[in-house]
Amino acid sequence: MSDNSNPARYQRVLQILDAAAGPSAANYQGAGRFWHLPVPQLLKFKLYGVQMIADAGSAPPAAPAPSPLPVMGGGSCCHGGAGTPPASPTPAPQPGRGAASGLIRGLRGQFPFDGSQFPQLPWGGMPVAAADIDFIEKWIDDGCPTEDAAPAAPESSVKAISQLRTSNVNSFKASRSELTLRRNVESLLPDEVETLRETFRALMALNAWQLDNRSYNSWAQIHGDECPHGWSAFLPWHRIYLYQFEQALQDVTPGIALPYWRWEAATTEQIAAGYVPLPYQCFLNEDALARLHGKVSSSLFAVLQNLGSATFTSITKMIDAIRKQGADVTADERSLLITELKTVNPLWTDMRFPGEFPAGQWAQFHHHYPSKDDIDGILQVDSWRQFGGGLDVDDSFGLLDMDPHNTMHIWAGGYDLNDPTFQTTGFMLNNLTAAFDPIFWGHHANVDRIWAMWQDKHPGVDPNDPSDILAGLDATVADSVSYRKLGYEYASATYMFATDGSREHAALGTGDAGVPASALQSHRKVDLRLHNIQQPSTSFAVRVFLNQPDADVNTSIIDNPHYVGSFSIFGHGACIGGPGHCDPRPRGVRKFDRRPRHHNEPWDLRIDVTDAVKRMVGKGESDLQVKLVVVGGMDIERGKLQLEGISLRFED
Amino acid sequence: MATTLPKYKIHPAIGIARVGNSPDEFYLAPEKTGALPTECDSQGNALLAGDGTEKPVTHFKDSQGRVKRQAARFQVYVYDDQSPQGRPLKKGDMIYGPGTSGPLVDIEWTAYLANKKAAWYQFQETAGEHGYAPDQPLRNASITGDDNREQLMIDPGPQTINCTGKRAASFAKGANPGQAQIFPPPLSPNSIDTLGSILTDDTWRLILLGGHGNSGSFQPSINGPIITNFANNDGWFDDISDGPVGATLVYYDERNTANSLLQVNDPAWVIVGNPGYAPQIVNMITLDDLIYDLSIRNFAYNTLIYGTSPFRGPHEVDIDDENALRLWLQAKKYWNSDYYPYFYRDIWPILLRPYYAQFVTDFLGISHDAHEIGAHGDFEQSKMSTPPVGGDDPFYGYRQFVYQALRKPGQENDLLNTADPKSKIYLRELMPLLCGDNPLSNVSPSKFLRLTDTQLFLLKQWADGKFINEQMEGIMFPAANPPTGEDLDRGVLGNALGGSFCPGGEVGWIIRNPAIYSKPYRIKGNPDFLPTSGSGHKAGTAEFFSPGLSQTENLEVGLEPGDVTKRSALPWQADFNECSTQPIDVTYRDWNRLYDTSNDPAIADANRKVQITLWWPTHRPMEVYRKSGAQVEWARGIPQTHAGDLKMVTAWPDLGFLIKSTDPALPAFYEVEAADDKPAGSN
Repeated sequence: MSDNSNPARYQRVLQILDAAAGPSAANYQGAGRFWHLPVPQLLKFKLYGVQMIADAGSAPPAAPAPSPLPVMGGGSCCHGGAGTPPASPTPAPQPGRGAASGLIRGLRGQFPFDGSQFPQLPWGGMPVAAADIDFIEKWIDDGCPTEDAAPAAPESSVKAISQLRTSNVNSFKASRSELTLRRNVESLLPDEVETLRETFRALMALNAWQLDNRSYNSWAQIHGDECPHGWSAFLPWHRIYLYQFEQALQDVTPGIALPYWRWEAATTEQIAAGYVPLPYQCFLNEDALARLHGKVSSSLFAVLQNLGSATFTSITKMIDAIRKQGADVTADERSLLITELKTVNPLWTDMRFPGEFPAGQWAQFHHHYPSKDDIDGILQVDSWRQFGGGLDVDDSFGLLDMDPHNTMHIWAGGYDLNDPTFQTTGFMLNNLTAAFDPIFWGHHANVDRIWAMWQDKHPGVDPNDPSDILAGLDATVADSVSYRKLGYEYASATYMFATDGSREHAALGTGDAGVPASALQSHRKVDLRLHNIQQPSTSFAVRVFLNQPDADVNTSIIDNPHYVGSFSIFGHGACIGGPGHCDPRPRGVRKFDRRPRHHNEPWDLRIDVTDAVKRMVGKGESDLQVKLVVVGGMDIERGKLQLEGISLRFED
Repeated sequence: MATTLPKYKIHPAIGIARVGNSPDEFYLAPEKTGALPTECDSQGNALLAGDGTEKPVTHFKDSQGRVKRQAARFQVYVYDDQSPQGRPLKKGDMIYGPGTSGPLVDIEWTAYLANKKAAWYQFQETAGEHGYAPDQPLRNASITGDDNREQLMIDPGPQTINCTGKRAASFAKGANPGQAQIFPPPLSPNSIDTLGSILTDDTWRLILLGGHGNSGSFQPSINGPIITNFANNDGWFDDISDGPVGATLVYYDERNTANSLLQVNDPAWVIVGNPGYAPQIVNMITLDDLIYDLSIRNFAYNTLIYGTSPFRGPHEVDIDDENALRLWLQAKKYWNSDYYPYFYRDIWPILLRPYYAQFVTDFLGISHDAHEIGAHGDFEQSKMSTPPVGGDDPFYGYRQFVYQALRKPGQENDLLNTADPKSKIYLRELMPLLCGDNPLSNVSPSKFLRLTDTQLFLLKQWADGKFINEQMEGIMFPAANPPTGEDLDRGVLGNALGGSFCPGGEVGWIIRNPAIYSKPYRIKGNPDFLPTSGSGHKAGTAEFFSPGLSQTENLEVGLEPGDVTKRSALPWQADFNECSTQPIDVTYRDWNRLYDTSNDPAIADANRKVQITLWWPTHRPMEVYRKSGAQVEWARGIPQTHAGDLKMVTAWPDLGFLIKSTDPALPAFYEVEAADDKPAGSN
């Protein structure tokens, strides 16, 4: 693809490793110089049990939490005549796939290649220079390409703005102490789903210690023991419960958020089929098939191979499919299969039979399934008592609690129709066991999201028993009222561009955000967000355009459908203090630093662009682009806008 | 200046000295497993070869054919930010005490040896390992009253020397006027008037010598003393001993312009044992194997091998932090199934031991299979060492065969493998085929030896194909020079016997009780028996007085001098002679002794099954090769009777030593310096 005269990066990686190996004849468990394996094999190669190239989406096992600390320059003050360029916060590097790879850990001499289990790589050769290791790490981060991409754009424009993969948005935000986004589970990218699974696995692995209160089972048990339903504490209790569980997930994977299951979006056909979003469905992968080989009958194995990675909503449905292909499943095989399915997808449980009900009384149950219209109706309610429930002295079910919430518990739980006595029901069907099904968290995140939307529509209408204790959670109702103070918000999806915060811009445009047609057609709201705008010394205004990349100060804003609006920035003026007086303090550095915000704390800006997006869709646009144009200011040529990111946030 | 105070520790944590009847000559204990001892001068300075390495010993006996003693050598290591793995402390090095610092100007070494055997309980196999019953009989039970029984101990008192002025002291009768010494009355055949002595070498290390192998009794029969039991003989004493070794660093405190004293953080212990007759042939279970296993399981010594999951490294718990250790002990722990041992470092040394056994016993007389390592041997090196390569594992079955043949926990009383009829070794003998801790009595029998949990774990990983052949991978483990403190701890104990214990070699079963340790490899000594920072003595005066030895035991407070060896056989020569072979009754799994007068007359001699089993032929050789190639009995002329035991009391210096051949034309190991070789001392 490239006519670049430099060797391709892949060739350079091989050269670096060959040179370091020198004359070493290390066997590498029979593979020899394993880095010469064809890349698809290299990606799977394990050296004495350690995977040399981590799977996509991996993070290093012992990676430190991303530092919230921007690197501060010393001695500058505002942007005045001190002569030095302004100090700029630069994003802390995010540990990635390369750093998690055994090859990189081995070259760096990190555990287990620190001599405790294995010596540093390459064995019998010379250590690789740090810069060369960084080069290989970056190559892995970029997916181990064997051919170089087209020549990159000039470096300056790459640095000025670049789109973040959505999977990195929460890491970006966590590193800046911004609210984490809880997203629609159906909008997660495959590697994000895998990261979520890894994180659940980590908590489930702790189940081996019954008394470890970090374990998944320990969390699930809290719900069975303590949860209030049918009165006002319902929504506050579950909000804090989810928050605390999300914190436990973030202990494992910094920046991760619970996704929500937007059940009201299901179509009639999906409801009839017992549909739950794909990340919650069960399937086999090649590793699981390999483990089952020889343990199940050959006829069953053949069918499983044939099914490949087909997904199913329940074990009942999967076994039905297997039987249709002519194989039988014994009780032992069923339990072997379940073990593997849970290993592959810890977000699935065999104790979930969504939409599966015995004939008779339950037959018409799917008519109770909540629709988007039902939710819109609930959102119109304007009393807390009606929406969220009555006080315990005068209890009553809130609308959200009783209908969509309870109904979806029953629907997601269902019955094991293979048990002729109908005694076996899904975990979700029963209050005591519900949280043992990982779909519980997606379900309740959606309930919480609906409360959050309702709160945004009804500011100040909150539970009226703020000092009530939320049993078992060491929190009160008051703690639950502001979801933002708990550090998250909801978005169906988000599209983000990181910008070079050290540069000043007179104008700044994004490329196509990559918004799918479905999101453009169906959303409740779209926000444009500008992240960490730095306080300038002079005042100016900024005009915002959608899908008009050539907009400039001369572009008309009258009757221009692309024009979204403008905002003004009130300059701070020259610095009146000594060196460092105008440098914002790093946020979140000291636990007990409770001073008010610094006068130059960067701000975030949110602009509701829902109407403008509607106009773009009306014009037939298939994607969105943002253009910012600075107007006015002391020095128009240079511009003064400095910020670290631009994002579009969709709500559904 | 270091950010935290350095720690000073003595290594090896446990030293091994050995008795010898040569009055003056000695060598230094080997500091690597299976190494020869080191030649030294009369002050204990190691003699160096041309390449600067320490010279191995060439003669085990002096010019008059008397066995040289083996000295235990101790040195102080410093652990600081610069050397987290520790480095030997040298004269002039800066010492950092609390609030003071200055160069090291001297080291005061204190040691305290004692022998409590005659005053302790009788040895009765495993009885007492978990506390003595109230009716456990004492040795010399006819002597009653604390003051009388106190006289059954040998207590020369502590001795302190330094590295500048007073560089030697003796644990002899009359050599310690500041102490109420106790020595036995005149004995026959040999009296005991010393337990040894201490010296300092020119690099400020302690050289500790034990007794001369004298044993005797004050209770004559019609024709002098007699021996009536392998482990308990009233009236008898020997000069085996053990006790703590401490060091006080003397440094010139520059602020106070005076010498200041600092006790080392971790003192050591010394054990005096019988001569090591086959130093280059390693025991099936060494004392290092035993304490390594105990330390891994009880003291977080290697958390990469055994610990909490996930496994993040070998040193996840600070061994100097008691609270961290307590939390670790409470946590659920696992053997790391992803651990990859190295073949030549971890596996091959274990597999070679059965092979070497053929040089200390008539192996072919008891088995057709001498565990050969060459072509077609069951331990064929090329097969044992080849890991699975590229998914292909041609020697899996060979490795599994070896592993399946090993006796596992719970099979201590099984002669044969009856666990799995599909196994290749079904109804064949479990290995090692050596005596266990109790093949004698019916109280908690333990007929046969088994490897430690850690050895079995490493071999399991290997058998399953999870191992690394470092030669194939270009990986080397160069020995640290000078050796690390951990190298010394492990290397020294690699030459002592780690099982079985009935009562044992240098030590008995008390050594596997975690309660006697403060840290990995560190015996917890009763602090009253070494100088402490609070004892108020001044630099140079080296005065230290200790309380008298106790006749009871409190493991929580710590061990006293003599407490490790007091359970061992008295005199040691009796058990040493008899631990040759043992007819083990395997008729019933749970019983060692059957009585014809019982209600089971059907089990007369005809139906009784007995397995003649070796004890520990590496520690006490059975049959050996002479240089000529002839295989001879090692303890020739000394029968397996009580009369033979009595003969061993004076005949042990006549026995030959075994050395490894460097000439392929000679037997791989052959006997030298036996008394019946003429002229004495020639090979």
